[in-house]
Parts: sequence; structure tokens; C-alpha cells
Amino acid sequence: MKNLLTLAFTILIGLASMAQEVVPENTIEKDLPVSEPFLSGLLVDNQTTFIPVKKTFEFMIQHKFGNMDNGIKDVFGIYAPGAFIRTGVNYVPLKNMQVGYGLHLVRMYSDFSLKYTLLEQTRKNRIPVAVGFYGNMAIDGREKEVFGTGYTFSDRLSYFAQLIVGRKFGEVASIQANTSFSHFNATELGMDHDKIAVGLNGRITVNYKHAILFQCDVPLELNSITEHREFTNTPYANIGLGWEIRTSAHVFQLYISSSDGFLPQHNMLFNRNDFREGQIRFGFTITRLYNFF
Amino acid sequence: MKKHLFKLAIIALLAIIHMSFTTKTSNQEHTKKEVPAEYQNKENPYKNDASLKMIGLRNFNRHCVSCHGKKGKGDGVMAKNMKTLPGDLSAKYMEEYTDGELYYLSFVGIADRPDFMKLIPEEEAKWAVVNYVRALQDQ
Repeated sequence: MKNLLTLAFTILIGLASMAQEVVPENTIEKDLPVSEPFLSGLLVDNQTTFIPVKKTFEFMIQHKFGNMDNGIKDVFGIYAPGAFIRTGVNYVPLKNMQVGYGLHLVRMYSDFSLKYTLLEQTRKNRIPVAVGFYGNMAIDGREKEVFGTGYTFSDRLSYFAQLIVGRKFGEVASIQANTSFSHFNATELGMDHDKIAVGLNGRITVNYKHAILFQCDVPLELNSITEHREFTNTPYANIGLGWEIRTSAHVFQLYISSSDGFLPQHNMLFNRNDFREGQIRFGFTITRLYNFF
Repeated sequence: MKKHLFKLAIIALLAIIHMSFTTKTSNQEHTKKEVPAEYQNKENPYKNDASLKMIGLRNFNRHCVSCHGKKGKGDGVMAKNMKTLPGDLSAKYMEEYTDGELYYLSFVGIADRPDFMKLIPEEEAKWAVVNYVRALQDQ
């Protein structure tokens, strides 16, 4: 785990340091942002630095079937209970800023999100990386009895903040590193309220319509923020592998992922699926963009 | 007499069978399409910009290939089911059109052709497709 942490931070710092490269003084030509670093704002369970053009409305359906660990008995989770779905919408009111809302089957969450691309990678490398921020606030919509005695509305709230640094490498690949902070106002006994995580994900281009996706998010065991003497109920890393298909108006992603839900803070704190044990789910995402300009 | 009639019938039958194998082609005589005046002289701000080649190629393959085919010949997989055949973008007659006219004919939806104005929102990407179509004519 320590090695993973070191590796993730090294990549993050490496990508960030590339942004500090000295720009020649005579670089006064207009340096435009790279075209299509990603085709979608989503990469399996993660956010990308990509935000569609201003006044774009996005509709998306995310679905995960049941756990695959029963194998062929339930056709690798397709007939298994515990399928999850999220229906969401996003809108881009300002250049590089997106707001969104989504409804989840897991814990009946409603999420309100904001994504902003602070820096866009440019073609002449004046800005060698894209830097994005993603944050959300979610409301747990279950019956109030679930939260126990002394219930207040704020017990339902959870928050997520993530910094994403990404780079497109020619037409071959786009890679992102991220670090995030998750917080739940109320959690079950024995669980931490906060979690810091790091992640690496990317997209490898196959051709103009197809790409391979990968993701790995690692919740960290940090003594400095844990509320317990020992790490119990430690969440597992969320590992995923997918296939992206872009058509004229849609983006489809078919993937396997070791997390249950679609809410990032839920995955960072509560993921009990071990990828190595085959505790993975088959899922898909469909997104459709509509332009209002 | 009977023999001649029989021969004639066989020839007619073969001709009918042969005709059933012929398909529609887009190499019909071309009459220049009308384009609104505002597009006729629309300037291509990215003319000869080689750096947009990949953007043009990507968008052409994503949005145009299913009807127009990879080489723009009008032989894409969807073409045979269409009432109006997609034009041959690599044909000589395409040189008659200005870049602005190509822009209009490529992105503004008319008849069977979908409107791509919003599907390809960036102006730069639209002109990249126009440049790519121009390059098809040189191949």
C-alpha cells in the first residue's frame, strides 16, 4: 500500500511539475487547447478534465449489474441481485464549468456536483497538463431510522473534493492522476468519517471510435486522519477496466469495476469488493450530449 | 419460330436477372447544389492548416463514414438503404464548390442529411472536416 501511495504521488507530482516548464520568450502565438483529451466527462467511475462546450446539456445512465463472483451460475452477475443505477444530468453554463445532478439507487443518494477545468493542456505545450477540480455534495435519501438516535438532516450529507491532473499523449493515450478527500457527516460504528485517496486512470486510443479505459483508485490508510486505533473495515481499491465507443451523438462505456456504486465518496469509504477475489461488477454508461446554442 | 421465341425468352430472363444485381450508384450526372448566398463566400479561417488533419480525420470517421464511406465515395454501410444516395466527396465535381459551400452542404441538414451543426459544435472541427473532404479530392 505504501508503494502504491508513493507511486501515485510521484506521478501526480511529475505531471504537475511538467506544468512548470519554462516557456520560450518568443512564444506569443496563440496556443489552443488540445482537441478531445477525453471523449466524455466520465471514465468508468471517475471524472475526467473534459467539459463539453458552453450551453451543452448532458444526459447519462450508469448501470452496474450484480457481483460476478458466482460465475456462470448467474451469468457473471447479470442475473445476480444488487444491480445499481444512476441517472444524471449535467449542464455547462460557463466555459469549462459544469454543474450536475444525479439520482442513485445505492442508499437513494442525490448528488449535486460542480466541475471546473482550471487549466487546459495546450497544443504547443505551453500548458503541458490539464488541471481540473471536481466536487459534490450528496444526500442520503433513506428512512431516518437508518441514522439511529439523535437524527438530524445533516447526518444525510456527504462531500467529495478531487483535484485531477491529466495529459493527452498525442493521439495514443490520455492519462490522469488524482487525489481526493471524502467526508461523511455520519457513518456506521467503526467507520471513519474522512478518507483521502489517490488514483490513476486513462484512456488508450484504439481508433477514432474505440478506446480502452482503465482506472485505479486507492483509499489511503493515514494515521493522521483516522479516528480509530486500528484500521478496520478498510475499503478496497476501486479497479476498473473498460471499453469506450464513441458514435456520432453518444458515448458508450462497457466496463468491469470493483466498486458498488457511482458516488465517489461512497466508493472511497465503503468499497468492500476485492478485485483480486473476483468481486467485480459488469457495468455500462450511456451519455448523450445536447447543444443549446 | 418457336426456337427463336425460346431464345428470346431466355435472353430476356437473363437480362432481368442481370438487372436485379445492379445497384444504385452515386456516379449520376451531377448538378451543382444550391447554397444560400451567405455561405457561398464564407471564408475558411483554417485553410491549408495541416495541424487540423487529425481533427478532420477523427470527425469524418465518426460522423460521415457510415454514409459516405471511408474514402468518401458514397459507399458507406448505410448508403444502400437510403432514398437519396450520399454524394461522392472525392469526385471531380466537388472542386466546383467553395469551402463555404462545402461547409453548408456538410453541416446544415437538408433532406436525408442530418444536421451536424450541433453535433460538431466547434467551428475549428467543422472547418477541419471541410479541409479533410478537400484532401479526399486530391487522393
